[in-house]
Amino acid sequence: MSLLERTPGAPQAWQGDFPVSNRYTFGLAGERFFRTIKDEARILGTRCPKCDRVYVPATAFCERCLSPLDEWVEVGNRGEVFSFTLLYVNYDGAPRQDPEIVAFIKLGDGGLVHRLAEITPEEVAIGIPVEAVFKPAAERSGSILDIAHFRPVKPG
Amino acid sequence: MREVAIIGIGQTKVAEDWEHSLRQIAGEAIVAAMLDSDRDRADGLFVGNMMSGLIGEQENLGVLIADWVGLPGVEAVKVEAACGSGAAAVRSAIMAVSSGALDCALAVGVEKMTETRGVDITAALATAADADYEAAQGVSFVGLNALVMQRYLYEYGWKHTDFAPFSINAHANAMHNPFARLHEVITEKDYHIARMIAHPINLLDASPVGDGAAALVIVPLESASRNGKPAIKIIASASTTDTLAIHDRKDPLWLSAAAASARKAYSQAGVGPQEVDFFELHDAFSIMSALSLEASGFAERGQAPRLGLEGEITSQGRIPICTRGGLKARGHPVGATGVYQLVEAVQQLRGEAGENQIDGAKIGMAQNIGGSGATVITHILAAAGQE
Repeated sequence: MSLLERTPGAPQAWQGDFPVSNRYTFGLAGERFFRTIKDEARILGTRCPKCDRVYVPATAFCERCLSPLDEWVEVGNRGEVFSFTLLYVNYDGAPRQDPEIVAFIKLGDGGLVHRLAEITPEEVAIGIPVEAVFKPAAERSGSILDIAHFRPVKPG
Repeated sequence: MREVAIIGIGQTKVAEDWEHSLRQIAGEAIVAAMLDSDRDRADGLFVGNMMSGLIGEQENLGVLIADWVGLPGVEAVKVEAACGSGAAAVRSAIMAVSSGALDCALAVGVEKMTETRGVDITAALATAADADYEAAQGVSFVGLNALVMQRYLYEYGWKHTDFAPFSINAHANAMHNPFARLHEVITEKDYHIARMIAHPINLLDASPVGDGAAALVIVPLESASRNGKPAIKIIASASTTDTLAIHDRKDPLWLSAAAASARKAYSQAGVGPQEVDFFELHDAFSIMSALSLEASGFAERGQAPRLGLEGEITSQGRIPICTRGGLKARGHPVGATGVYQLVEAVQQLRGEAGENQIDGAKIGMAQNIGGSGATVITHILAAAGQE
């Protein structure tokens, strides 16, 4: 899903595209998490001061102590590969010659499952540093796919 | 709360069955279960199913099936918890009977999966993950399990082939189960050369989907007939949850919901893992066998592959698993799987498991999982007179 903007005066608008007066919401924390990715190409987490944990993706409440979380922190666009897989079969069941690489990337105390690119299967390893590559601003829609992929951090 | 028992079981062969509709196979399993019991009516029907709406464009399965099998007027609902739907439906039936709300409840798990394209099934299965964060990637459950397995191999130093005994055992047991989807012995060599799906998961780490239905008749223990087949007592039923997305887990290699579910079940039943004679676990992927065994107290963390390598998971071993083929070889018609596990546990406790019979089986455990360890439902059953 992705964010849809409100159309003011939507009930009267009959020309052109069909008006959508509602919008998809990811919830309190998800709304800000995805909007910041869309508008600013930054990844945010929320920190629980009591438990000293940074939730990524951001959550509205600490799942350990249930405190409401309002301390937003930027976790940067870099993380490390916690685990990875090489997909030899496409989503539609068709075999692939070159595998697609998917990784579980640690960011803060959480992480994201996302694609790895600009790397060969032989080079992927648990623990390597990677960084998010965002789509151009005009193509971002408020979805986790606004991050095009992650790629290895170039040395230096 | 009343004590409850299973007095009837029924199942269809897990298959690619293009000849029968969802309601037909559900009906076949229900009729078999009723005939196996001494009842001809039930006053409630709980249907475990995951994807009839997504791929069959049919919901309202409670009344659909009640109507089809001739139970007019009964209470009937569908229960959904992804691949854990089957056991979730059974648990609903147990709670209804145990509370006194119903006197005879039917639980049926049913799924039709082979009449549509693979891409639709993959997409339907992926709805069990977190849609906003995980599924948008186009990563299927195979991919998510592969991430877990890769990390497990890394953390504990096992080789991929150390998981072969889980699949070999399941296939060997299914040879004697006429209701199993796969009747094919596999060897370590087959496992080694199997086609890679999502490294390190290959084709022989993964369970096949299928069409199938399984059903149970559940009544208060006190009203179970002393004639006929022995009633099998349900001595524990425990359902728990974890975070839905694996990135939210404190430790992705520990199935905390499975651990909590097993712990609650042991406490209800007043037994520990050492008293359990066999374990029908949720081996959707071989890594899940290992994680379930560890979370349920049969192996130390990171050590479950040793049980396989030392032959402890076979019918002669310390803790036989997947005694009639498991998800790997009996097959995994997702919303029906949890009920198949319990049907098979009842067969073992009645002494009806044929070549797969575990000698002297008195207490059996079944664990059904929805999502990547997100919903976990554990049942413990006992032969009459056992605690």
